[in-house]
Amino acid sequence: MTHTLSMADESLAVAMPVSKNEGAGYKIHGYVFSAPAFLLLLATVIAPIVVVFIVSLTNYKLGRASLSFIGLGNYTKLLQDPYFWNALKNSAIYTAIVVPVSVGLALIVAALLSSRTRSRRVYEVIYFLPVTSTLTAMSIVWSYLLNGNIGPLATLMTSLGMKPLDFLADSDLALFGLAIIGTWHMLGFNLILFLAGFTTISKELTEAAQLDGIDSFWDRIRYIIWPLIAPTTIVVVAISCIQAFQAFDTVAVLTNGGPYGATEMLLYKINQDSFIGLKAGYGSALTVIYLILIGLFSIFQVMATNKKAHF
Amino acid sequence: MHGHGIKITNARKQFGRAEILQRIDLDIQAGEFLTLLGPSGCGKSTLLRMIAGFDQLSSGSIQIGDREITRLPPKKRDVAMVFQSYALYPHMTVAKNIGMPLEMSRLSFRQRLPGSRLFSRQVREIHREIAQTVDKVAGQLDLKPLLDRKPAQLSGGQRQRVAVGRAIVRQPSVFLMDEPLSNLDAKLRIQLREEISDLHRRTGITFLYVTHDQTEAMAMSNRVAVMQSGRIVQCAKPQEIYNRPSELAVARFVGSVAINELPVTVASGDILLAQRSLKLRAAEAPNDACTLALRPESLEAVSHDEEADFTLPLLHVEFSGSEVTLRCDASALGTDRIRVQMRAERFERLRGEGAIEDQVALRILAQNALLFSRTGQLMPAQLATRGAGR
Repeated sequence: MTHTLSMADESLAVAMPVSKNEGAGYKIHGYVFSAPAFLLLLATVIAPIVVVFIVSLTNYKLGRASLSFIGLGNYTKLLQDPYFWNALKNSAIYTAIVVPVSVGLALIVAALLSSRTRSRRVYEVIYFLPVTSTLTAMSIVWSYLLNGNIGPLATLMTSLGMKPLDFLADSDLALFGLAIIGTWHMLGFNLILFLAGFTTISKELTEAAQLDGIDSFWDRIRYIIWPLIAPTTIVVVAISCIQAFQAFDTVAVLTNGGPYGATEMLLYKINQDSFIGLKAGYGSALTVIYLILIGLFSIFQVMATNKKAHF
Repeated sequence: MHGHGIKITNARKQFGRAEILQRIDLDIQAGEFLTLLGPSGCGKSTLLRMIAGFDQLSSGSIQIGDREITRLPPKKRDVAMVFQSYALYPHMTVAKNIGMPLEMSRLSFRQRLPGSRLFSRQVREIHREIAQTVDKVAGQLDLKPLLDRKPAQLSGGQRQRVAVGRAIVRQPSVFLMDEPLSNLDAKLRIQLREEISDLHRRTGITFLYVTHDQTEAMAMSNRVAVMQSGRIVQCAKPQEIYNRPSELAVARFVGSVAINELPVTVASGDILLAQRSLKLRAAEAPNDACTLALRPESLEAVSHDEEADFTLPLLHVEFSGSEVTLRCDASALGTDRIRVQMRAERFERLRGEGAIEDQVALRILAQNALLFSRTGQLMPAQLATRGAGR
């Protein structure tokens, strides 16, 4: 914004060197016109972040009328809190499962679908349905599917002579159970992004590759699709990481962070501490850490895209 | 000299109800340069894609050499292709682009895995051979200084040369080109046209070239197959296509200056134009309304004292170096414009004599005049100037 403004200012100065006042008037006009967007951004994004940061330096309890500043006390407490580290670890494991699986599967499915013509629309809709569904409602369905006593998965395993796995009740498996649901939910969105990325690969290029002998599925992925889709992949990975770190619905509906904290993830812990434990100051400190992590993913995406976008 | 002939028999292609190719029969000799020429949408690119194997024929067959290839996948057909958009791999260097077909055909899937070079001497050996071949091809195409660049860093002409390099590196028996020059500017186009002709002569590969540019087709080909709405209208040497087009549509499509068309009537061998008899006779032609088609150089401007077929008002004179094109108003003859072409010296002489002012007298040269039937077919009847023909 400031750039275009100064540009306009310069060209104006060249055209009319006499009237300097009008140049200033022009500048003011610029600020006036950009003010609504700026104020909106200030009110909805910047101000809340600043408030959260300030609250994180206090011992404020939700509902209390008084508060006092305790400096970085919340942060030192946070670093010594085993539950925080547990939540961070769980979030990291969850992300490390969901992101590679949902991105990899989406890429493979997109490669398969891109060569379909008529059936493609049908598959697109089928894969995109989970994205449009309410995860809270779908969690109930999944809790039935993965249930160790009555679920169809358990029935199948029993009939094959295996010991049925109870994904959501077993503390070793609960995080994987949530990861399965998360993958299912994110796959469609990633698929659509990849399919959009595929349109950048021209038909002639695919045909030239066929003539050169690049016609098997894995060769196509290795020599054509993967390198040309790299910019899209970076975006997809970054968005998936952010989404995975935001996992909340399934935790809240299905496990409440249990069994024994096995599925407690960052966002859920923030919610628990701030609104159930009413420790708003501590919750705000957690939120600041959470924002920094999300910010890192975004910065990674911007930097990687700038580097990779041009061949 | 390892080109193979292509034999296309009764090829048809339908997309839904639309018939894109209708019964194509084409026999291309080994080592020949044949051009498929036609307006866009005539099916010429579709036919090329069938030969490359990107699309399947609805019926009919294609043979390359003695091999039936109708159902083979593209890489098994021993054909190479150059595309209009070049279709280079944007993420690979020039060297890698050119070497790709060799890498794919000489190395197995396992040998192409990353790191295999470190473990196997055989793989290293093959890579060295490929690098040598790439180097040789790059030398032939003046690409040696560019081997480490990416396609985005090359000009259009250089990119097209890389595409040609990638195509010839594995020595195919058939070389397909789909409008390879149409993205280039005029001067570069002529230069690359010559390079492609040289390449054809040097390699002896069979070239099948698709274009809508009739000058390209005329300049490069041994034979030209003119296509029109899904069928081959005429397949002959360039001179014959120009001088004896089998249909009016072909006559219209070929030639850099549009052919002149005059509505005439044949009555017992005499040719009547605007109720007046021309000095031209078609003794064997049946009595009917016809079209007399005249190339711009089949009309001769004459001085007034000579016997002319008609005299027309002159609208415009166009100079193009050694040739001059006159545009005359032919509304009196039942058509729009008549274009006449002549050598510049002749034009200057006639103008000096006062023969070309605002009126110009024209005479038809019988030997290149063409008579087409009402349906646009070339009439076999011989045309001759009155007197000389008797």
